[in-house]
Amino acid sequence: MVLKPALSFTRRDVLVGLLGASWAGCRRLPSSPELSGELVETTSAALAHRMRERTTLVPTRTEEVPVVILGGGIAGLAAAWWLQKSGIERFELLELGRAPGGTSASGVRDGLEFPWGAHYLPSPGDSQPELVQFLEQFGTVSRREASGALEYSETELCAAPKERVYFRGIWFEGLYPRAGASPAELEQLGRFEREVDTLIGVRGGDGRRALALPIAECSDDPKLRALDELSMAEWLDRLDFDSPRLRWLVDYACRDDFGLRPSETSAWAGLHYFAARTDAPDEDSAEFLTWPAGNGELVRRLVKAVGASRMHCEQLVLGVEPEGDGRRARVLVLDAKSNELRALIAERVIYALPSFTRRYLLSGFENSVDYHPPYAPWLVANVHLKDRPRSVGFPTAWDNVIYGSNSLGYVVATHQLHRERGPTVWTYYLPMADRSAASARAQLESLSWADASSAVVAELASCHPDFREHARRVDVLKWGHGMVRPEVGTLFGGTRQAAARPLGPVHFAHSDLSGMALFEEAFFHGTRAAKEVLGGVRL
Amino acid sequence: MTEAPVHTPPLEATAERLEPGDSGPPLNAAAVLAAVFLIATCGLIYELIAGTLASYVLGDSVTQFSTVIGVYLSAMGLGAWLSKFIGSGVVVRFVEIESAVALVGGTSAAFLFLAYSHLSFFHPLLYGTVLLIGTLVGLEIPLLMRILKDTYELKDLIARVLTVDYLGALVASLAFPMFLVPKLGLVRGALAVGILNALVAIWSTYLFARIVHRPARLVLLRVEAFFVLILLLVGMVFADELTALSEDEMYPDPIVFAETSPYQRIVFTRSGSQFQLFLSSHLQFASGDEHRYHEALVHPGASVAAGLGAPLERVLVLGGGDGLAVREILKHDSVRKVLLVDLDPVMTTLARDFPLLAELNQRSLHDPRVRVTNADAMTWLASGAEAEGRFDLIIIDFPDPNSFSLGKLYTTRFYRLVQRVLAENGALVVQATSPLIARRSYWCVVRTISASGLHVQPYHANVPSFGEWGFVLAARRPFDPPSELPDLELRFLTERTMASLFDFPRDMSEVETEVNRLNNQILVQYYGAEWSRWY
Repeated sequence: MVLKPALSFTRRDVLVGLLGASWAGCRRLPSSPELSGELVETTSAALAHRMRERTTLVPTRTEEVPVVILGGGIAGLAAAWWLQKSGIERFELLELGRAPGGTSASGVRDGLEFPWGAHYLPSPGDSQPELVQFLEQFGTVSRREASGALEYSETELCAAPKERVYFRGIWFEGLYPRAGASPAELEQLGRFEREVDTLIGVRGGDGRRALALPIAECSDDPKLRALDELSMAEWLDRLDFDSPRLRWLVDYACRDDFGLRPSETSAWAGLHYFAARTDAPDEDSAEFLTWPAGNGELVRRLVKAVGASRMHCEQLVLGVEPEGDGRRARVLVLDAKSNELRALIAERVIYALPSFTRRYLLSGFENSVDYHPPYAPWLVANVHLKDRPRSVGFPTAWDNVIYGSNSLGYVVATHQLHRERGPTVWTYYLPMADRSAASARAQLESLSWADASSAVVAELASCHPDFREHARRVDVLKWGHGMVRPEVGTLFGGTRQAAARPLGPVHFAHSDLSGMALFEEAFFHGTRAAKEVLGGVRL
Repeated sequence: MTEAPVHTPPLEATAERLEPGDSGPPLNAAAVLAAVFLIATCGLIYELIAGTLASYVLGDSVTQFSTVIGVYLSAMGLGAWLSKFIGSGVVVRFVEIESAVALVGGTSAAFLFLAYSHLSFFHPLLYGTVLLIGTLVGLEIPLLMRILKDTYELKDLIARVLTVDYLGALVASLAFPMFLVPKLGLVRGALAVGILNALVAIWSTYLFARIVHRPARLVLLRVEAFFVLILLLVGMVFADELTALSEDEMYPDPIVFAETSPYQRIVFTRSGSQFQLFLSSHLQFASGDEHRYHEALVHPGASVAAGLGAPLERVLVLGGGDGLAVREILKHDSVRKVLLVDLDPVMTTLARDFPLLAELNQRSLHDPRVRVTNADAMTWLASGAEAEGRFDLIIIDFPDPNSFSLGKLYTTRFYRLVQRVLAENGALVVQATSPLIARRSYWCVVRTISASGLHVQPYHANVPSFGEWGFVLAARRPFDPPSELPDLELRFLTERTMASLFDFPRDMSEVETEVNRLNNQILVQYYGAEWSRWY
């Protein structure tokens, strides 16, 4: 017998591969939906991959620019915002995509906005002064005169009902399905919450909090950092947490924030998810800020504050190297629109690109650190509906999670508009958590629009009987490097912290320097790098 | 193990065949007639249930009732005609039909209620169900007569069967309104009747045992009937859950009009000279005492606005699509413009053109000073309301906050939006559920309005069909409860009565609550918990 390599996938294979084994037994395969839609690209992948080719082209122009920011994601934009606020006039931001925003991208169609990636921000407290300052600038938060306490705008805080979970055919309020949970399971949930509460209050020998934001402010105590050597699943095992519902909740959390399964997630990261957004034990966790465009709204505000004229899109950075005596840097950049190659001589460079690009772009620097963490691929779909599908049980919430699914469910992009009827957009998230990052990326890349959209429709129709009647369009975006994966040992065991240190005139800013793809971390690194630059310029 | 002797029927009789007087005594005729009686009773009750249900949910009882009964009777004729195609195996067919009637008829009310609440093509389902039950019931008596044809002479047979049949109908027509509907309701009533049919099916398998060959077939029939019986019994146990899923069952008085808009179900019921309006099964007013509610809703606020120095020329009504608040507003001669913003065009059209209501609101929506805008109040306030200018008096009369989509209309965000269109000296009044039944909910509304930056005066009035009802008066500037009332044609309020409304007895006095905001919607939780304690 000749074994044939499995080169062709059936739709069932694709469905099972994406949504999980529970779909293997589904008898009636969903037909390809009669819907319109397309694969959406925020960045030309073909253009991005040219980064790996060392160019031999000679630049047609050489320009001197005091500060160059590479990358217009949140880190780059936050750096630009801080420079602009500090009175720096002459800087340039180079972005590969068609618009700034990185994974906080968003879209608009028929007057409705929707996110393509990050879609909320936990309301920050006073431990993140720069972020609070930015939100104050746009009226999202104000300070009460009497107490000085932060008060967030009612229209930007996520409106109730916030979350619901689809469990055994019915939607329930909240994320943890309490219906039918045994007393033993509820006891475990309570014990887990108490463990997390304890961790919220824990401080290291250095007096700093064990798990907080930004991550750079967390305690260096080796006893606490040892959690990074453990997987989240092992941590649960050690404390005898075996309740299926609790394990599911943790699994959901790891996939939601990291695109990882608990067996691969650093326990430090997993616990950070639960503990870091609360200031003190027994306090409520920070409320979420959200907008129809998701964090695309924050991108718009950053762009507005900085000024679009300083930002140049569709710019492919081909190399960064020391210039002259090494106190300046030389950036080689290709304008994809004009195909013009420029060399920029900069006093300072803020390198706000994902760290995996360092090995392709940085050359000639001494003490250069190779930091190449894994990144989770994500599939995001925006489903356009002409009206609201029916649900059994708790009414439609902002975040609608499907118990036991590989996906994270969907978020209602129009939730903050308070319209209960009429057209809406659902943003569906599927982190590719089940394989190694590279093989998952290959699987994602091979996916056609028809396969991806039929998987999305199959799953959403399984929890809304009249979904197909209302769905009109499904657009799909594939994020090859959606977010950095905090795998076991990657947070404190490797080169992560060293990678954040400047290399001569080059300063680094990206959320992956924190090992976790959080808006807060990107913002922190952006403003930190800008402050380093300002310090240097004054010198 | 010994095998029972096998009786081998003649070849042509492998299908069951009647063999009367073959051996042993003939059929127990009295028992069979008792079965006829039960069958007849059940059959008529299904018809009554379908007719009542149709007029409950579709309104217009005369038309619905007569069309349902017409379809049912003709379906029975169809069944009778179809019976001639049943050649052999009459007993087996009869028992099967009994089980089918039990199943379809017994679950019909539950099925139709659920279908009504969840499906858009209700009419075909209703008439399809009626047709099916009618046909099955129409088959019963002809088959039974054939079973009995050798026990009696023809003239006796017809006389006895029809007598019992009509007697059953009489019992059904008495039991239905006197026992079944009041004691069991439609869903349980239908299930109970179905259980009776299933018992007849089981009983028949014993009754006709001696005239059927192939006892194995009988056992199978018996199992089928038992299965149906158990299903219906389970239905009885869970009937409350079923009806909770369906439209609430239902209204105390006969429905005179019902219509479903995209937003709500609008039902008018009538008893004697009184009529009531229900929106999505919640009582909005009863004509007998609505004047208490609407006078209390409008005039104290008007007095406060006037006292603060507002000219009381421009009035905004949010909700209140029945036009009754507008009727009260128009009693003030100073009023030059009333803008009514209500979500539902079906409701405001009824307020204008449905005679019963237009008479009660004194055709207030026809008044040239009144303009109607159909919009979601929150969306309207957030986008473009300011173009309408500011209002001296704002009356907010929404349904109680029993869902998130209504709860948002009681948030600080909402009251801040309202303030944008409230004149400097103006006043606003909010209906705020019952401070007696939903004490925390009421005081939560008071606290929320206050947290939005307004000065408040809470008050309440007794409206017998609602009970103690709560309102909140609010203005930008501090103010005292109103004491003066202009000379209007009022039936409830006097100056002394009005002053007394601002006094809260102990059992309704202020309690601590949280503020209702978009991001907590705490009021919906309070409200759900408090009302479920009472009802």
